Amino acid sequence: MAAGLYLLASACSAWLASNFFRTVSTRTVRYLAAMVLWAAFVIVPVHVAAALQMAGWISAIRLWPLAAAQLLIVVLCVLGSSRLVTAHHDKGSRSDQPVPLGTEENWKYSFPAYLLVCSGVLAASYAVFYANLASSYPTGWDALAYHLPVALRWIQTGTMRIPTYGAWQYALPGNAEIGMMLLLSTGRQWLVPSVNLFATLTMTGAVCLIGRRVTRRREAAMAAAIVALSLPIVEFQTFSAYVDLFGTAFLLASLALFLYRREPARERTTAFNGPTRSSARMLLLSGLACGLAVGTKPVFYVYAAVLCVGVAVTLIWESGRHWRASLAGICLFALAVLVPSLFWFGRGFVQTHNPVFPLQVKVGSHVLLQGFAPSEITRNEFSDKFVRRRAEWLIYPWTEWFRNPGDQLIPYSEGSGLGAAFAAFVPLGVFWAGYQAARGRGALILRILIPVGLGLLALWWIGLQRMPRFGLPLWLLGCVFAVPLFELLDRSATRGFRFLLVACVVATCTISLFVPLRELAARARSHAWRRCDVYVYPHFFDELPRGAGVLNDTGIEEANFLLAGEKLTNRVVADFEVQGPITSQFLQEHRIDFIAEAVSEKDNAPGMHKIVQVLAPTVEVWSEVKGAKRWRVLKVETSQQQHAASAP
Amino acid sequence: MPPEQPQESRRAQILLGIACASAFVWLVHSFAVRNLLLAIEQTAHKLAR
Repeated sequence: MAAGLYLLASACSAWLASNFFRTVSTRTVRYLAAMVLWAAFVIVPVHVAAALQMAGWISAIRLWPLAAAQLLIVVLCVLGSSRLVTAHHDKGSRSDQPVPLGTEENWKYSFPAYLLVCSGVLAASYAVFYANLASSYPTGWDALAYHLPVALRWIQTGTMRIPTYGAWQYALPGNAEIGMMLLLSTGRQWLVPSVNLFATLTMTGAVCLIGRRVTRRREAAMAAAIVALSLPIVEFQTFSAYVDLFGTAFLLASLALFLYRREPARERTTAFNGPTRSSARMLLLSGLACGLAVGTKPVFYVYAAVLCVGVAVTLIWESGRHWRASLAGICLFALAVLVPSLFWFGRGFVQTHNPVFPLQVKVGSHVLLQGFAPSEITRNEFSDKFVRRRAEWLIYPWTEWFRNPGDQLIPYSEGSGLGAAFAAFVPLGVFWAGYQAARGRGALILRILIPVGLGLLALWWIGLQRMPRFGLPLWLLGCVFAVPLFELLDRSATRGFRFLLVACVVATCTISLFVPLRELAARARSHAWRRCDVYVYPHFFDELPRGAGVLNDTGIEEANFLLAGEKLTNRVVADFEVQGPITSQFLQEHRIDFIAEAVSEKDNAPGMHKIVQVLAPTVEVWSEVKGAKRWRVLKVETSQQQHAASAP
Repeated sequence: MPPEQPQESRRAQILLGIACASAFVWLVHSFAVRNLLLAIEQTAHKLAR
């Protein structure tokens, strides 16, 4: 209830605050502004509460006080909005007055049939994924192993502190997890991926807007957005609790809003004469979006750093001798970046003296700031499961190979797959855009973005361990780079292009759809609707008394979330919190009542790690074979646990 | 008709040809397609049993 009120109130605040962007004539920019503001209104108050809790000013982060604070923000937005309207009435001739939406925005009259067909196919495909999710629970390895356990831990403990034992999983920045935390607290676990649905809508708007800066032909920008939405990696992440799409969406939104900080019409007709109020607001919003991405995942530090340098260089170049104006713009942008990300840097610094914890900072072999090397978080060989040999990355869009596709065989997931439309158009589109840029043709923005994109691709290869999902901003920028190709083909090879695009989208969606359709059919056939049936774990954990401490010693990392039970009331101690043998002292320190173990019926079953030896008196209270694994539940002897909960 | 239009049309045809070829390579080479066919076959076998 409190979470619902909080989200609703923040949406109202965002809608009211987006009135400050009435000076913008492009509907999509206003829409993107509202999305960024909504995310900021959801996330920043939680940061403030968490900081107050860490400072000892409040005992715990609670949702009702947060909802009350959000209502106060709504009131402030109402007051600000009404003052804005009054000011506009008083000063009707000001340049900042609201402008009507451009006639070009009447897209209803010019939306071509082939784009309608593609949109319809995509909408149907997304609807099936949604139906699968609504009748199930969130899935995905990373999501279950640590994204959702992090969000759940914040709810249960009321703090966002990094635990003293410093597991990197609990130390990552987590803007996306804040949304997940709020949605988990509604009790409807299937709602959690709505965070990513929101990100997909933001990403679509951003791709369209950046595309519109490249071409005069709106259909070409829309085709780029459709190709972006057809990427299996995007579609699967939309309905999962991964965070890459969330960060990517706001990174692209930041770029789009920066490109639209000045009205296109005014930009063509007027010379630079200092930042207007409108452009300053857009710059602020662009910085906020960039900060949202920075606070999502350390991977986005790399992209955000490049974006920040680009913004600074552009502002300096634009202002010429007006260095004060450029400095003011840069400071404004930097300040806005820090608003939704400073908390994570501050938390890391206060607790570990390393603002970018869990990342280790070192120069050569000299460690400047303690933490984990990137290869300890994501192993360097991890990406080798997408290709048979590394040279195959050059042809990955046409191979889409996957080492362990599992029973379903489809190599598409939250972490892999680019689809037919990408393979057919994007590499060729990037080549065509590069060729045009080399000849000094095409939009200026494209001539700047292409070398930057290629540089980032090299960085993805070297620094980001070649993980396909870490390169999501690049794949989506690739769709934007293909806009000149779409424009040319739509103008001069209309029928063939339209047929090919529709065929590619249909082919990709058909393959992607096989996964949710098969899952839905399997569940319907076996009547497996309960949480314990979907996740395949013993029902025992759903019936434990509230607050029971469960240690995940199953060797299944996903069980960190599963063992929380149907009502999410079990306090799970994750497998990565276990640093050595499980001793009586460890059990007491973590107030553990039950230890969950699972042994595969087959030898060397995939996804199973070695279980840790228990060196404390326990008694077996449950044993069951589930999902080809023998599950055992050990109850910690009451002499060890003063407060031990009773077995159901 | 402006003189650059036939040239643009020719370019568009060439690029469309490459895009079609690229899509064809994806169709015959992508494991997504191969594995879909395999998965459909396996599912049909399971249902038949």
